[in-house]
Amino acid sequence: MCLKSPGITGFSLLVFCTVMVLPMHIRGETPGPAQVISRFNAALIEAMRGGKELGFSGRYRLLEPVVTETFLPPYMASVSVGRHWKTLTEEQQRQFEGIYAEWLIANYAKNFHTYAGERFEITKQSQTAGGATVLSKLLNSQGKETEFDYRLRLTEDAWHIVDIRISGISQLANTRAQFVSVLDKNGFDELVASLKRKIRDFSRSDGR
Amino acid sequence: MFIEPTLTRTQRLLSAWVLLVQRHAVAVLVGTVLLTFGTLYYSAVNFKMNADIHAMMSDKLSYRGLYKEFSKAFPQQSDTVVVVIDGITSEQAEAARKAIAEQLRKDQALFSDVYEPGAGGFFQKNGLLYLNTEELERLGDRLSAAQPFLALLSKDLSIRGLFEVVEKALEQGDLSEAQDRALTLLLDGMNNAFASAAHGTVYPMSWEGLAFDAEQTAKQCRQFIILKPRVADASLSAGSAHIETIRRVAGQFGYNQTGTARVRITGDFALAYENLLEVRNSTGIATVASLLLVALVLSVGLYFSWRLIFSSLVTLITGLIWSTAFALATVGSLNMISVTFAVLFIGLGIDYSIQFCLRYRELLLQSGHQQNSITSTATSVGRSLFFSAATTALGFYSFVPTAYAGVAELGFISGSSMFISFFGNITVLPALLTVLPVKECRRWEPSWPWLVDLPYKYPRGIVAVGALGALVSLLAVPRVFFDYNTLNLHDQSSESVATMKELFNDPKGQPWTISVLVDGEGKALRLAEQLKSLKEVRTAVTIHDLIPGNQQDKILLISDIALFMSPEIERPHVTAPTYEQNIQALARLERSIESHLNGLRHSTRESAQKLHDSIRRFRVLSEDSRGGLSALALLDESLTPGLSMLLERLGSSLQPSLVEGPSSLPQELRSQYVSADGRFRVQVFPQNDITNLASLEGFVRAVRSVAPNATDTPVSVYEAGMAIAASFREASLYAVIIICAFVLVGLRSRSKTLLILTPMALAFLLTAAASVWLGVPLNFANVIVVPLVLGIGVHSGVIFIVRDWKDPRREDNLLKSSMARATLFSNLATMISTASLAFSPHLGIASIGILLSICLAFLILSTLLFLPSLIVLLKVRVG
Repeated sequence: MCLKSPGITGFSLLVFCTVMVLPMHIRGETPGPAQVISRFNAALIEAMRGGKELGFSGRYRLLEPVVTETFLPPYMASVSVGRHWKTLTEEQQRQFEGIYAEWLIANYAKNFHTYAGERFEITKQSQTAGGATVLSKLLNSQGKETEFDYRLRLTEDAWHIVDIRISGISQLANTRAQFVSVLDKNGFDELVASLKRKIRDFSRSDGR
Repeated sequence: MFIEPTLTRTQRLLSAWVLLVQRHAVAVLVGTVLLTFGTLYYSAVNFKMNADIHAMMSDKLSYRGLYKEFSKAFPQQSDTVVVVIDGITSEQAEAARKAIAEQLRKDQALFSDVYEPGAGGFFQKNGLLYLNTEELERLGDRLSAAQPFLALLSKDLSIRGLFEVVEKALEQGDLSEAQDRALTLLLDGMNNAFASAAHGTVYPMSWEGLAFDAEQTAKQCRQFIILKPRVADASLSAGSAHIETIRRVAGQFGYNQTGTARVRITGDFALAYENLLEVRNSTGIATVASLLLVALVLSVGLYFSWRLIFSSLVTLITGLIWSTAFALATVGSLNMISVTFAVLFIGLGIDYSIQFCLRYRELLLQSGHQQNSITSTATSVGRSLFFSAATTALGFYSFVPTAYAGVAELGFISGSSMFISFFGNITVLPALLTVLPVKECRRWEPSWPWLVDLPYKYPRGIVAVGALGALVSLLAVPRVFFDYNTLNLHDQSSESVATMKELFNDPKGQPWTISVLVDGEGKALRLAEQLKSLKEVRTAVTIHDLIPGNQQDKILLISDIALFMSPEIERPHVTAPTYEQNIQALARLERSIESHLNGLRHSTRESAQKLHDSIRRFRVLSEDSRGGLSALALLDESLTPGLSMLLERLGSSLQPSLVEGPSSLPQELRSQYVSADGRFRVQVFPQNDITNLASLEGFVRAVRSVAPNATDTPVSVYEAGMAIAASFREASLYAVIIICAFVLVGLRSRSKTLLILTPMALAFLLTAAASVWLGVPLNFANVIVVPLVLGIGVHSGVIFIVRDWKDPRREDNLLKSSMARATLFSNLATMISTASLAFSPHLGIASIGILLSICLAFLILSTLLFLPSLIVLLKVRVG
């Protein structure tokens, strides 16, 4: 580089360094699948610890950012209604994505409400063409294990959870089976209404 | 005494020859024996039969050229063996197909290509792309509902695992409707399995039926294997190796007509093979039967003179052996049609012997001198026998120049065999008669004197009846129908024909389709579109149709399913629980049903109750541990194999690759529609059932209006039919012209010629009417009747007219002469001999027998009743 004047050189060097360093910093921080899971698991433990003090709404607020970022609620929402997704208007789709995300977070907020020495352990992770699988376990203080198997997908340079298999039962599959059944029988509005009801029930059964 | 004062040259020759034979009778006989054994050996070694109906059409026909081009471009499409496998469940059929195909593929010497439609790694991986999006979505729904249970099952893939899954399903309660339906089906299936196990049998549980669309799965219960046999030559033994191997392999696995999967063999190759078998067996039997019947007729005709009978039969049989050797030496093989020459030879050849023997006997009675009788017989009868041999041969030869090789070969062989028979009758027969002369004779009084006098008493009546019959028959002539559907020639109950006819009604297995070869994919697509718009066409398929549509959407759908399905499917944990563990699991299931029964929906509850009772019965049975062990093993066999197959199938199909274009398809699939030299095939399916000839014609014409170079079986059948009909008309015309000319030249009298042709014309008219009224259509086989009867009929007429002309004694009843008796019995012999063909299970050959017998019967009546009456009437008029 042929420098003309030190002042300008110094400034461009500074700019250059800043410009060079910043993206590297960002790139370096893209979490791998296991890290995403760890973050989610940590959030769950925190929610459990918070427990009664936080209450449902507290736990909800705690989990909301984590779930929204580590999961892919819009995608999961579309999968959970199967072929009916195409029949919804854009407005309905937006509406459903929203209510689904709420319901997803509410589920976790409701179910992870007390802490008794549980911990998560990641046992294995693998990557295939379709995505990544992370096998982990929830161990309670007595040593009883529950399998938590995560399926992740890479979208927009970040890994997102798209399905959890708890004790072998795929939450996405289960959700889909139920939602499709409701849609077939009673239609979209009833589904949204029933989801809203469920969320209300969760929040009322605080601590339970 | 009948003495010709001056002998013609022919007669002098005959006389000289026969005298020579008589002098060296023993030498002649020894020579005959040697020649006969020699030719017999030659025939046995070189015997070959050719069953390909389409090879019987001349290669110069344009449709043959098109078909040859098509066969070269797509060799695995023509002359195939199609194995049709029907299983009770789709799993059984698929397993059978896989097992059999694998085994057959190992036999490279016999089969150059073994193709399993819809199978193979490509379809295992990408099969789901071939479902439409709706079906895929439904599959997704079903699988998502079943996921928890599949997950559980894959941890313990055994009947114990299955019992646990059902337990869990019952416990869950609050099942969706779809889940409920599936559960009911599952419970019913298990119930059947328990019931069968209690009875000592296996119940084939269809898991694919539960997982996939029931209608789709039902279609999968029929599977195909398409084999291309490697053939050195088209003979009987070659075909049998292939067919027998397939049956043996199927039998090895316990399949065949009964058993878990029903395996049947069809396809052009198998049809040709079974055709050959039928033809060979039935003509073999017919030949023997006709020999026996002819011997019977002979006995009556020759006054039960055993020496005459013996001599005639020996002459006949040696002539037959010589003719067979001649046929194999000149033509090289016998085909489905020409193999009937034996029966024709027996019927016609005996004619000469009868004529000769009867004349000899007549002369012997008159003169008592052996040698002179034989010689005179030769000179008098010999000439008309030669004339007859010539006219009959001409009738046969008239088919030789036509495009129908099947009948051309028959014509050539039979025509030549007439001369061989003539030769035998003036050589072997006189030698035998010299060595075994007839000693006693009785003078013949007609057994039915009144019958013999009929033409002389009621000439007008008989002629009137005949003319009336002719007129009525003229009405039927336009309705004479030519059935050129080659399938109708076979024994309809044979496996290959029956199966093929069933396939015509199966849209998946349509055996006869039209193919059009096109250069260029764009052209192929445009042509397919054009063809689809025709009302006779159900659809037109190109390579493009093998590429699934909407792939992007479907791949997304499938990856959604893959999301929640694997990895349990990829790694099912197959376990082998002990007997006790299984029984315990069973007991738990029984209790579980009891406790959750009331929480179930109505239909599910019924099925659960039935299952509960079955389990209880089963457990009682299993108290005897030996019985229990075997029953449990049966239960295991009913339920678990399909499960692992299903999981495997699901696992391998959840990661399809995009099928971008024809190059992504596997070679064996691509080669169905794109030839090695890059030409494209458009396969056209008919809308209607083309075993009906009118539909076939409509289909062929419609397609050809858009694509003139259409080819493949429907076109071949249609064109062959048209060609045969044309040959038929051509040959009959030749025959009539040549025979008329011959007779005219021989007899130099137009009126005599007309008289000779009259009984024949009448017989034909009446036969045409009979064909229409009895519903015996003309076909590939029995078209030979026309030229054949032309030859025979002329001969009978000639005998009469010549005799009458040379020896016009008004008082003497022609019908009392030896000639008349000879004509009657020889035509009777021919008729009875060919009638033996009518009992063949091969419908083509049977129709030859029926039509020919009827025609000959009418010919006998016309010659022996109508013609003499006509002569009497005309003579009376002429004065």
